[in-house]
Amino acid sequence: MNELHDEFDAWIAAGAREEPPRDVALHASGCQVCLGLAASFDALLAIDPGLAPPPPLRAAPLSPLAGASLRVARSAAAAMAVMLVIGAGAIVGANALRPRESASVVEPSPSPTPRLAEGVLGAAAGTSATAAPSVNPSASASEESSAAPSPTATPRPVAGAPTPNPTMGGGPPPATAIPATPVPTLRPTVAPTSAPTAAPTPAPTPPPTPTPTATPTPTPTPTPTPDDCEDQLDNDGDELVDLLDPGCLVDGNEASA
Amino acid sequence: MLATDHGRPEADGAAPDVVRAAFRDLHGRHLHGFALLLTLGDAARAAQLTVDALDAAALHLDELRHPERAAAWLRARVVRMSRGIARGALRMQPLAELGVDPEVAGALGTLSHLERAALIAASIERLDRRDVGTVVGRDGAALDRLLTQSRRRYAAAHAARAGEEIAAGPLVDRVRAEAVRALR
Repeated sequence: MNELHDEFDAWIAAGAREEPPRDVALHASGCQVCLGLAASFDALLAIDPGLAPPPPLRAAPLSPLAGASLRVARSAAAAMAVMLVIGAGAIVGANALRPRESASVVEPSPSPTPRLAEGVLGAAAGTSATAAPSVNPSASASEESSAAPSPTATPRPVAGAPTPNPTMGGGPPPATAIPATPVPTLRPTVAPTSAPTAAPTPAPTPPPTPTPTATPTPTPTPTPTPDDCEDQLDNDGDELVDLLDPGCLVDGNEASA
Repeated sequence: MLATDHGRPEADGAAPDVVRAAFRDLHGRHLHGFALLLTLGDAARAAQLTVDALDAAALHLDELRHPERAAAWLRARVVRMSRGIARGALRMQPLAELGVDPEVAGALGTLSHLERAALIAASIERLDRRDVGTVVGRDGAALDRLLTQSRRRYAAAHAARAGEEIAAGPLVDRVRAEAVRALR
């Protein structure tokens, strides 16, 4: 039964051009479904495309079609543009991330060579703002930006511990007089700034500052020297006081001469 | 016959307007009907497709000397030009003028663009297999598959829409006549 049904279906699907096998025709003549299939194609034969009205002499020239193809082209162009923007964004984003990493890697390398130059460059590069807070005020302002600048800040304190001193007070002179005068004058200014910040410092500071500041700060031990030449005392016992002592003219230390 | 005449005007250097008019007289209505069926009654689009195909045919006369080939070529052009265009809503009135009943229209609407083109060319216009292949741009087994699939899908969709009553028609009559012959 099903076989006959399928055979009739296949005959219809093949176009029903030849006569159906007799057993299939016998089955189909009594099968409502099979006759329905045949009737559906009879309905097609009732259609006469020649009854259509004659086409217009000139239809509006392809505008909807052109419009459709234009629409397709536009959407394709829009898709391309979106892809380009996304691609460009991805490239820019990737590049924007890389320089930061490389900068943080590059910065520390020059630092070991010239200490003062690094301080100047650090200020010139505009990172001075971040560098300054990282060393001293990091203690006061502490946590706010600690996450980002910390990688750059940590290497600095080691080599840059002396740098903050000159840059803070003696920004302009550092290139000319390296050890001589600027150091003494700076001391007082640095001290007060660190003093007020000291209060909030305790908790946040310990991790970054202790190691770096401890070692380098002693190096400018000449700090006492300024007092040496301004205390109106004969510190080295040569009976020459302050600026009258040649030592103060040489390196700001009476004991030097 | 006219199509063979179409070759001559071109050979004689006839104006394209004359050729276009000849093509329009010979193929216009049927081609327009084909386009109406393919677009499911979108009269404006069908008219544009028809005019465009007739204009294009006037420029390709050397390919269209045989009338049957010309009919297939024109329909192939209509199929190609209407491919990819979003299908609009079914419009019954232009279709009803061709003798399309609502069940048939609904069933045609379930077919894909190419399936519909194949079914119209093969089962409504009764073009031969080679011309149907030209219309849908397929041949061999791919064409057979397309035709079989389009007939099956159409029949299933029509059966789902049609009522229980079986109307008499050429194919139903053929089946019944064959069954009577088998009983004798």
